[in-house]
Amino acid sequence: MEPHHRCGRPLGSLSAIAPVASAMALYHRVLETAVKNWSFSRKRIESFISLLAVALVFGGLTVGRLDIGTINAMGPGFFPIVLSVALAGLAFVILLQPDADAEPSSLGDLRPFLAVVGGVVLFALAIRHIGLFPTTALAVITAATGNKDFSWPGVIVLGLCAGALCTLIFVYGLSLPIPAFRSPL
Amino acid sequence: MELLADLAFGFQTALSVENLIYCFVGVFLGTMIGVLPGVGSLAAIAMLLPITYYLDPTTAIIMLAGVYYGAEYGGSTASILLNLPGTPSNAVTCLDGYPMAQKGKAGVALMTTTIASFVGGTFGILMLTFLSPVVVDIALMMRPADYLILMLFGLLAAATVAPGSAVKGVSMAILGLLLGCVGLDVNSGMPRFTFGLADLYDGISVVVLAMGLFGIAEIITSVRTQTKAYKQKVSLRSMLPSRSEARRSLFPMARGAGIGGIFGPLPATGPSIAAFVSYAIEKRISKHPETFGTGAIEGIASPEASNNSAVQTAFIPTLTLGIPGTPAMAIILGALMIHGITPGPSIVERNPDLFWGLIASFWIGNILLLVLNIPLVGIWVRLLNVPYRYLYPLIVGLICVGAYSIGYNSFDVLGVAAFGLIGYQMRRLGFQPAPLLMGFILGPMVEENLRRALLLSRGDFAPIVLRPMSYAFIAIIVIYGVWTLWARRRARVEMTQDRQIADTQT
Repeated sequence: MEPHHRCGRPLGSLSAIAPVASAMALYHRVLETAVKNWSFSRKRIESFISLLAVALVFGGLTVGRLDIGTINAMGPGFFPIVLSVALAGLAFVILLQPDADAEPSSLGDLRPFLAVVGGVVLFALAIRHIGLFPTTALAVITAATGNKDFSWPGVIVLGLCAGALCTLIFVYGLSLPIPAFRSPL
Repeated sequence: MELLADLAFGFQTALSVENLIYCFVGVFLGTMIGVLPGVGSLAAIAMLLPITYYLDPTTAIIMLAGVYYGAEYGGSTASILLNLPGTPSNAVTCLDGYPMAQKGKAGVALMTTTIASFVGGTFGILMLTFLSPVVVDIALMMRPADYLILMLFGLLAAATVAPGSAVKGVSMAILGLLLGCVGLDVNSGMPRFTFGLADLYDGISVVVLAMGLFGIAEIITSVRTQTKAYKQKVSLRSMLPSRSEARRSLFPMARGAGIGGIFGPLPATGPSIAAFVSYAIEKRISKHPETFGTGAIEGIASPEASNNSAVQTAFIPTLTLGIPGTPAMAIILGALMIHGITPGPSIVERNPDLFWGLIASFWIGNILLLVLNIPLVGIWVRLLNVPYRYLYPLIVGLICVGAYSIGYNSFDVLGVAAFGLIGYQMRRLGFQPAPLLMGFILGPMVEENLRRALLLSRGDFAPIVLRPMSYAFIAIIVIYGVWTLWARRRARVEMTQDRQIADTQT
């Protein structure tokens, strides 16, 4: 059965934020130049770059470390490298394929995105330190700020109710080993 | 007949107190989540999956299946009352359900969908009961190469039938296969794509993937939906259809159930396509096609019967072959594997209590759906009146707790956030998440069967491709691909026409 205890290092994962952020900034710089210089739609270029990047990452990680083997005796690297090559090929096909729906991908509002994902990340970071009730409440409150007509009192009440509900169901109802409250000190 | 004995055994299992309770819980929660717009049956199953970890495998699957067909039913409530489908397969119900509600006949519409769902479900369960042993017999004759071709066929179908560019669909399927490779390789013990993190040695959890890709990503895109409140009261008496309405819905229900039964077991087609096609067919053979889109009762009876029938029959390939036809089935398959059960032809022998108990529970759950939803309609209506901006943070909270309860590891919750980000990116760029999930679940199996097939044929691809079963599959792929594209284009053209008519009339 799957549920077994694993030690996580959530705060260690925080150190991944800096390189990820700079990678995203670089990505947008490349994207802007590409869109300006060629006549492809932004959506097509972004699709191409994303897909190619993924293929290169997987392929690169395979080639160095995993034994590819032969067709007769497939090694651990065989399947991944075949797939990575296929994916890279498809990336080029997408680049050259005319867009079915050429509507530009709308980044739209960053707000719902940041609020929801932020809420989840907050939950991950806080759960080991503060306990289920406060963590859930904070996560829900953060996610609720995504909708632009939100009111602080309403959102706080919602967070507290959500925290109470989850604590009741999961800690008391299902007896999961998660502390409802916990002090970070 | 042996079948009756097996069924009796199944009922014995399904009627145990624990299984009954969890069947009820599954159906209830599934319907409730299905009623909410923006969260579909897929997200419902993913969210409730962690609860089932502590249950007996049979009980767990009984509950998850209940969630699935409950959600498929619940989605029609939002379609009728708010013109917003609760699940994608209920989109067709909006076309005639919403006009009916606007004419004050919401009760009749809801009652009809309940009964149609029951009829469709019953037919689907009958097919499941009688066809499964037959499929098992066929499956026992299959070799690794046959499984490989079948799985690739399923993946290809999933990738190309999904809306959007077929090439993008295939690329997502391949990405799914790649993500399935993350973790320790079973054969060599080498870690693949783990970045040195011990948390990834077991691979990515299917729950994390599904919750992030389908749950969080969906929610991000729908945060700004404004829900219109539904003011009319739906009383019990208003739900009874007139005699002519009842008579007119009889045959469409039967036809819908049949169509759903055909599309359900086929890979990549599921409740959604079954619903589209039955609507299109109903309209085509109707004596008054112009009434469709204005509140024709045939227009909701047939699709609703169809999608519930498809939901039940989708279990046939999942249980007997171990090959999921749709993403929802893929998650249920994942759940089975988490509990240590490998679906396949031997499941009937090795776990007869699971197999027949599950089928028996479908009968029970189907009746529960009928009995439960007639009185509960009022509650669902009131639930829909809660503004979405209060509901979605609550759902986010539930997703977080659910993800954390997998292994009490924050890493899983971060994984959900990461896949939410990826899913959001994908949606923006026009990539479909469904083929990715299918590829992810099938990945290890495809690799394994490929390895075995190549070993058996000593590196030669000819015996793999040139088998009688392969010829049959390739022929099916061609016919199937052509026909599905034709049917979908047909159905979509009809739907846009109907939508235009409906829009000009409201």
